[in-house]
Amino acid sequence: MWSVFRCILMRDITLAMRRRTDVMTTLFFFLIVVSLFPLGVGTEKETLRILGPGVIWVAALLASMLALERLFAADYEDGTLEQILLTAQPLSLLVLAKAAAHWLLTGLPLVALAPLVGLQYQLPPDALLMMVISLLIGTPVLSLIGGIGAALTLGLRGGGILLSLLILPLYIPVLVYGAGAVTVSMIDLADTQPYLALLAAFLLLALTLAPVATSAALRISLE
Amino acid sequence: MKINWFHYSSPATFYGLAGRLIPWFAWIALILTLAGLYWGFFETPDRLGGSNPQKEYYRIIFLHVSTAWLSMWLYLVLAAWSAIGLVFNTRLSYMMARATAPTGAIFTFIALWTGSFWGRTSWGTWWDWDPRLTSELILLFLYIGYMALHSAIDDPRRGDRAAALLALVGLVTVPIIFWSINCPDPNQCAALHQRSSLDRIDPNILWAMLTTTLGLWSYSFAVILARVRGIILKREADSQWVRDLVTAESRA
Amino acid sequence: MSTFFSQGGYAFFVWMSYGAGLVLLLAEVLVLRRERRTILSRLGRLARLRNPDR
Repeated sequence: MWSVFRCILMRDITLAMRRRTDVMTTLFFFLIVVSLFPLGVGTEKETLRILGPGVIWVAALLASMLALERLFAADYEDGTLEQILLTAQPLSLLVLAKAAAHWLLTGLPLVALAPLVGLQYQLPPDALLMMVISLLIGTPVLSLIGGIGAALTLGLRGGGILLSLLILPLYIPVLVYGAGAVTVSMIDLADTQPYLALLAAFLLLALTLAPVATSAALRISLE
Repeated sequence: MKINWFHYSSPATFYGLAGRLIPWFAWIALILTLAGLYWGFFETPDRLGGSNPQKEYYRIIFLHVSTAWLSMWLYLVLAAWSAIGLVFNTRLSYMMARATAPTGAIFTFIALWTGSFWGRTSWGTWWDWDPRLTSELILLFLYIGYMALHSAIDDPRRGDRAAALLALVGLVTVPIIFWSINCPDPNQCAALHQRSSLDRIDPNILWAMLTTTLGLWSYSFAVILARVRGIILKREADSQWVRDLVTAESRA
Repeated sequence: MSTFFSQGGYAFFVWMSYGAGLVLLLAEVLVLRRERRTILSRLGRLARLRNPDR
């Protein structure tokens, strides 16, 4: 089972590495969005500090979502996805592998960039730490839930926008607690514990349920 | 007498049944809603509440609360039909789900609109990111997402099933979304929206509210049945019974 | 009667609320009726194309 997982994981990563620009553009999108807000709302330190957690999290959401189209689209177009569906391996496992690849290519770089971006928003060290941790736990959830939307909108015209319409409401709990954790960390680091616990709970829930829903969606889209 | 429980699960037979039921639901809706509103406007005190009473504007409650309850109820109905469709693979279930969505969305919008006006008068603000209001807004997005997904997919079978799956995923996440907005700080939870105080309300107001809700519920039955008839005609256009029906109608 | 319409001075809020509700629900009914007419006429045309009346 692990070898199947690893096979799909390595395949997706290898393919993505051959098109490194795709991965890079997502990251630059994140950076640009994050840089736009201070230009729009003013560069006051206090304002930035209040806005920072939410803005960075929303930008992470959007960047993660933009990259979702690539999750299944390429395989769908050249017929690989159909083959994947026909194998005897459990589809949920394969979907999990694809989501993991998506996270490694999109979410993890975001987590790495978060401290830099946090500094742009004048976040104190505690908040920077919380930013990294919350994104670390939260971005996999985004990849997993996003997979459901990507599977449902496979091959549709206007797929990207439709995908955002469907997925963004589902992202809200992660956003609320992720950004909340960072905000609270600026007051008292100890208070962040329940936030992180909830985020971890979401992750566990998503790990178990999302691949099942995504598999069902894939079967529906590919009949 | 042997009852065929599945007699009406075919679009052809259900079409006729729906047609016969619509006038009943329509009249019940009209009578109950008007009665409820009359009761609410004329038989109730001019003030609502004890310590800090709301003035006459509280009468928005009859429309606001009814549509809010129905918006949530109809989403459950939508999800239920979706689940039945996915499990039993029945065409009609998907059609019923599809018919329910626009009405649910309209009720959600009315709830938000009336809530906004009520909020302006009682809280002093047109909008507040209160958990219930925000969740209602999210509910509107879920309805619209459902309808958007349906219309984006050309193949009716794929569209039905994809939207049904979306509805179920939405159903599971709605409580999570609500609780996350209700308790953004897990260390403490608070809300501006009226805590449910149905037990301390003047009975006249309560009954007027319930009557209006029942009236609007009946309205939703009528409207949804009418819509599903249209959907049935469109989807089953190639079948003989529809062709016969259409030629009969065009001769009439 | 005038007290009914003025609603204690909050006429704007109350009637905008109910007005919007009424308009939307009425619109829903009217749209459905129009849809039904369109479907029937369209399908009627198709049926006549396939089996022209003798």
